[in-house]
Amino acid sequence: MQQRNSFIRTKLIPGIIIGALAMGAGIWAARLLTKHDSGADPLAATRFPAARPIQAFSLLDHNGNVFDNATLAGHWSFLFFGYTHCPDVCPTTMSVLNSVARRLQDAGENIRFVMVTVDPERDTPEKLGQFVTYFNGNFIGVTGSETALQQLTKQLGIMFMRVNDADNAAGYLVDHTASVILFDPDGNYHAVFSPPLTADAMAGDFRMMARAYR
Amino acid sequence: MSHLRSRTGLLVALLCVLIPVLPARAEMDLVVSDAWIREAPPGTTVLAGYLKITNRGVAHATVSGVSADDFSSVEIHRTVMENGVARMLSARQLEIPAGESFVLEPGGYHLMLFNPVRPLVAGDTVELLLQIRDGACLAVNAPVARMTVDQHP
Repeated sequence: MQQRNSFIRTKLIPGIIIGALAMGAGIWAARLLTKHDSGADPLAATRFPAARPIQAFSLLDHNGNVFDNATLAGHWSFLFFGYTHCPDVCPTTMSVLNSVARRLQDAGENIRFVMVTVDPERDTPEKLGQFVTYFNGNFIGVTGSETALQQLTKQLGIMFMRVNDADNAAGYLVDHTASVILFDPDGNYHAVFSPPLTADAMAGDFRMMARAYR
Repeated sequence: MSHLRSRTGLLVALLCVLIPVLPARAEMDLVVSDAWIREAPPGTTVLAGYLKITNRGVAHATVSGVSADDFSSVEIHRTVMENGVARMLSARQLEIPAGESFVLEPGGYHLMLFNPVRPLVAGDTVELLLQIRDGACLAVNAPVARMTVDQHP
């Protein structure tokens, strides 16, 4: 017992103290380094050094109007990809987007919020319209054929995949990237917000990006 | 498959109706709080429900199924986020060790409620029946509420 106590006193405790000091020094050094490195971009969003143009795509909004590259020009657009048979993640994201919209009411920017369906088979324009306008009367639902949707999603790095789940009463589910993409008024892919999404971070980041854009 | 499922649902409901007065230990030891159903846009056929189950007993408890008269069926699901991709996985049952709580909340475990038999709006109440592994049933009143992500005016 005495031997064990002396081991604890002479080896273990100093070891722990040295270890803790080393760890503290490491964290301090890492903070210094990252401060230097990340000084360029204080955003939660990921944006490109230069906004990326988007190749031609053509979809329809829930009112039957064409939604394509030209529709993106002239204002900022937040695009989310989801579906109406998604009871948990999609309504939460839509609520967050509504909160972002309310926070940015005074931003002096023309901003649109769009949900592009990843379930064109079940999400008719009418259903999409009911869904998106429930969260905000100005929100836009967009759909198209699977091929037409892929023309947009592929170049944005948005994945969606139907999962046939025999156990699920809805028939099937759709796995999908839960990010929100921001297009600038040139209609270019400007930045991406990855989950977890918070209205605070998104609205704050948007203000910074809009200032830098002007 | 759907035939099988509806029969299972019926069985859950029947068990709950037939044996509500068994001396059920689990029923007394399990406490449900913060139950709510997320109000959904009109016409939505799939809703989500959330709640917290606390096991105050000394024995492990298992919730083996959920049913509700207001829906054609109820499933337990879990949202997982992998590399930014949202997926929903079925969970057959909920395990609640003695003395612990299990939370169903947005972005995680949730009840998936199919085909509401009446329009449900904030202020309505839905009765959920939780079937416990030992045969007991736990009735829970879950108010329908609109989810707010913050209090920003």
